[in-house]
Amino acid sequence: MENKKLLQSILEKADDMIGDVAYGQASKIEGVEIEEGKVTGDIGQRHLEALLDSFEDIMGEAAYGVFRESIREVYKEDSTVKNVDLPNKAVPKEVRAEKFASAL
Amino acid sequence: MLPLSFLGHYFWAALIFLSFYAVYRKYQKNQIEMLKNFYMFFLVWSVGFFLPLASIITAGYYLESNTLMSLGYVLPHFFAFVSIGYLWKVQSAINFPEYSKLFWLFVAYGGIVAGYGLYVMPEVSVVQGSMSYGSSLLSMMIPLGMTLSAVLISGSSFYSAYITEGDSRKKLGLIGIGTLIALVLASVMNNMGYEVLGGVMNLLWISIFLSVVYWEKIRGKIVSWRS
Repeated sequence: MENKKLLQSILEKADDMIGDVAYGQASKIEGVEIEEGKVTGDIGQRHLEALLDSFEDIMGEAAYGVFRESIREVYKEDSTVKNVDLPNKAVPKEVRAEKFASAL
Repeated sequence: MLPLSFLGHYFWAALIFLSFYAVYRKYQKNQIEMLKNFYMFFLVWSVGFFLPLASIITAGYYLESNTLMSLGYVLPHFFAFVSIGYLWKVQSAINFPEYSKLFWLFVAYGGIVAGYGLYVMPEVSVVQGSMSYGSSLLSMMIPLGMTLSAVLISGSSFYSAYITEGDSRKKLGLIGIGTLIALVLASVMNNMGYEVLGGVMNLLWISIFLSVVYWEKIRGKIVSWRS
């Protein structure tokens, strides 16, 4: 569930930076369906990883910033988002710290 | 009869190995890299540092070999710094992912310490049941390296505590305190020959780390005890 919320948030933030290209890139990923700007379908780890790769090609390091901001935002409402398994620099420090401390 | 000091080293090796196993069990439930590096810290500290320290020095003592006694002191310190490197990996994954390769700096420092130790071969002896490590630059290099590592690692852990809340803040704060005690107080005490105080410090940091690992159980007991 958190993956879908996260993907939605990422697309909204990326839309502010690169416009419709964000949704276009996401819809190219197999298994990601977007209807009227809303993400549907079963979103998993691989979809997020594929989107990060795709955004990195377009935005460079800024892609990680988009992911960090989105995770930070979703985390305020849903702490399970800390379990998302993405490269460290795509996840905010406080979420990484929380992930380690809560796993102990 | 084995000197008490040697028995102490076997005891710390066993206790830290149990700590490794406790963290390893957590890792089995949640296979994240940070937990893996945390259990590697305990595993290398136990099997790479305390166990060879105890066993090689014991062999040297019984065989009356000064060379073995010196090797037993020098070589395990390489693994002590490797172990600290794993603790750095935990902190770098949280706060400084771009600096995770600093792990190799800890390995290199361990190599320098061991290399210099092999060059000077400090005289290790037992005086009234306690270890004496002679006087060489090594007695300064080891605590200095550990203190600098402690500042870096515990500072990072305190910062993590600052940016989190609730139980996570407490756990990360305790890890910071435990790191300072393990790498500064215990290390300095043991290298200066204050073995009892060093032992107390060892017991303290291991207890602190274990209290973090068994946090839920301890909290549950405190709650049931209060009610």
